[in-house]
Amino acid sequence: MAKSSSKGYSAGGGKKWLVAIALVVLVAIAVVVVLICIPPNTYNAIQTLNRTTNSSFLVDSSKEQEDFINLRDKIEAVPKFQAYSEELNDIAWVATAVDEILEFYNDNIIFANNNKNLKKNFKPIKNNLNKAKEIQKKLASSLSKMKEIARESDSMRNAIIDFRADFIRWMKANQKAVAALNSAYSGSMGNILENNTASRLILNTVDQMFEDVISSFEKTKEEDKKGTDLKTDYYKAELSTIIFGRFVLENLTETFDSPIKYYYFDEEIKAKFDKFERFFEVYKLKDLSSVLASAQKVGGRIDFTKTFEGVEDKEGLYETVKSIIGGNYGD
Amino acid sequence: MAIKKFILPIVLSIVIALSGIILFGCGEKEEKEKSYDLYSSVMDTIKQDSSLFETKTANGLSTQFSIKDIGFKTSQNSGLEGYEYYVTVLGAGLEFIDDYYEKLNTTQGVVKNASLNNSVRAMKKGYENVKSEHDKLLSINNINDISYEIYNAHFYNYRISVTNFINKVYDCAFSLAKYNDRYLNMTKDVGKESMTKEQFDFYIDYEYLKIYEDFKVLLIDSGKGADLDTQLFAFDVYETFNKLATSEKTSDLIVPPKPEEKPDESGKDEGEVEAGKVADAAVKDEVLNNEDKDEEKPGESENEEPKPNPIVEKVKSLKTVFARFAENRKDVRQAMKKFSVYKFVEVYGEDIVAYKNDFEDAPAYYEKLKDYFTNDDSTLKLLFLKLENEVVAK
Repeated sequence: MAKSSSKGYSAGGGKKWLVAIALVVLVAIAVVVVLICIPPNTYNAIQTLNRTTNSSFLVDSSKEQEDFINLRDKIEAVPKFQAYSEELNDIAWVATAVDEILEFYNDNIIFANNNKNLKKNFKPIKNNLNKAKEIQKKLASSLSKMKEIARESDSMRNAIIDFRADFIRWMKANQKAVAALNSAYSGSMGNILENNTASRLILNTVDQMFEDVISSFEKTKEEDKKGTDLKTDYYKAELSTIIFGRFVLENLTETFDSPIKYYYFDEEIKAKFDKFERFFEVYKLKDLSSVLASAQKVGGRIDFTKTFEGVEDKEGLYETVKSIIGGNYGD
Repeated sequence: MAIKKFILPIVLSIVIALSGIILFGCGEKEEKEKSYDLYSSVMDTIKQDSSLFETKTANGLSTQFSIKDIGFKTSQNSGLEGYEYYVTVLGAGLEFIDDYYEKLNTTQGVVKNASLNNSVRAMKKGYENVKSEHDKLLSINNINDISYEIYNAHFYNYRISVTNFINKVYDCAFSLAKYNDRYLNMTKDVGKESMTKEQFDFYIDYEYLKIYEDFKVLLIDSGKGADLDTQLFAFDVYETFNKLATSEKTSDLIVPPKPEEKPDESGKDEGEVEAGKVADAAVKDEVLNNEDKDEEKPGESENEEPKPNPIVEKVKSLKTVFARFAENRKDVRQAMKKFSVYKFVEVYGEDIVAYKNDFEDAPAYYEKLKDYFTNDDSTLKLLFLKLENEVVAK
């Protein structure tokens, strides 16, 4: 029996392979297109921000507040730990300021354009806020446990040192979220009245002050380690927290006339912030970190003592900036 | 291959057919009626309808289009209460149309625009419905001892017809405004030296119309036109704005035209004129000579940039504010779309926490509305202050 020609069978088999490969390629293209074209859900970042501002550390939870006050009262009654009471007051002040910053963004980011810039920032916003939330649980738990620790013991001191370390971690997570929120605000809020020179300068200054506060608490951490004697001058964050808290209160809350709101409606405010902008150009500075680092108490008032050689400042730009960031405040 | 032979030509045919339908089937049909005639006819009818409209000042707005009987009874012998904002919102829309439809009669060529015509036809229908409901309301009111509840039931129908009419009026007003802006170039020169008073007035009135629409959306769309007792409707700024909108605009912001002055030689004799010409020539020579000398001086730029006109700069600054204000408006409109003022008041009793439980973003939208309309330093208040200082004639 003659063998049937295998030509038709081979050609049919090759066709099937071609079809299979073509299908695989099409599916791969479809998957890639889907991954590229379906936008990440930026609304999740907004929801995370919303939830965070509704349960801010030491602001929204009555239990946290109660435990914190208990701790502070406990510490104040112990002479050798009295130095901690100022730090604890400042921790509450910083926590309030952080809440005010997040509230500002929470009121506005919902109206942000869902553009590339927002998509780029939504992950750092969401991830860092979630991280801060986790650390907050730990802080709350620590406050609760400290109620049971004998107030004059080394265990109490160690607990405070650990609490500070966690608080620094909490601040760092929030700082990263706030930096991403700043970027989202300036690049995604469009040309609204409140996205202007003043908002850019104020929100950038908030970022730098936040950095300054963290740095001060890190220095405090270095000065107050477990197993060492508690120094009376261990605390390094007094000035930075005052400056930070006041700046946020004056510029991001409804307590005062916000320059962000008034920039296009008040010639004086506009002129002041236009000067603030020119300051960086004339003094050839990228940011305010060196100015903030020079904060000192001078005759009972806070002043920024950094000097600049060889700069011609006919408009009084530096004095304007100092007045905006909190120079010449009384204590 | 089968794909190439059959499917591609079919797909191509469908695409071509659809394109044809879109281009030819959905295009504007030729409009036969003159837009000015339509507007004129409808506005004349409305103006002559003294049974439905009267001249009145409501919330600071003086209007000849104050609609009558827009209120409910609270008891058998009570007067009419509520809904005064309907009068203002409606009056403002009709006043704008009345001020600017005449422009359709002054251009070169005849305007027969389908969008304009459709909008005014719709407005006319809306007016006819209102008239019909108002007539029913009046006839009910004439019945002796009719209960106030029955009156209010008929008033409800009348109010709904007025609500629909207001929406049609604003559609018509904006059609007219956009036409004036785009095709008659009414705002083309605003912010330039060549700006006229007419252009500046139109530009500001157009911006005012948009603000009136903001109030309309809040009160009538988000608030469902209900007479709600809420802080969100507590506009201490409303009356200020209405007065602003009817105030004279300052001519200080209009750039005066530069006159070309020629010497008046009518009373002079020939000799004087000739002497004048020689003197002018001598001055010209001197000027030319001095220009040569000036060129020799080091360090001076040859072509100094002309100083910006302060009036033009002021108007440009105003335009910048309004352009940014328009961006704020987008957010506010978004907030009004998503946040129901009616629900907030009637269902949640103005408890934002309760509303938030059902709608997580409610507080953010609520804050936006307060920030725009009612806060002490609301965006509207700041804008009106600026307009009072810079636009209103003193």
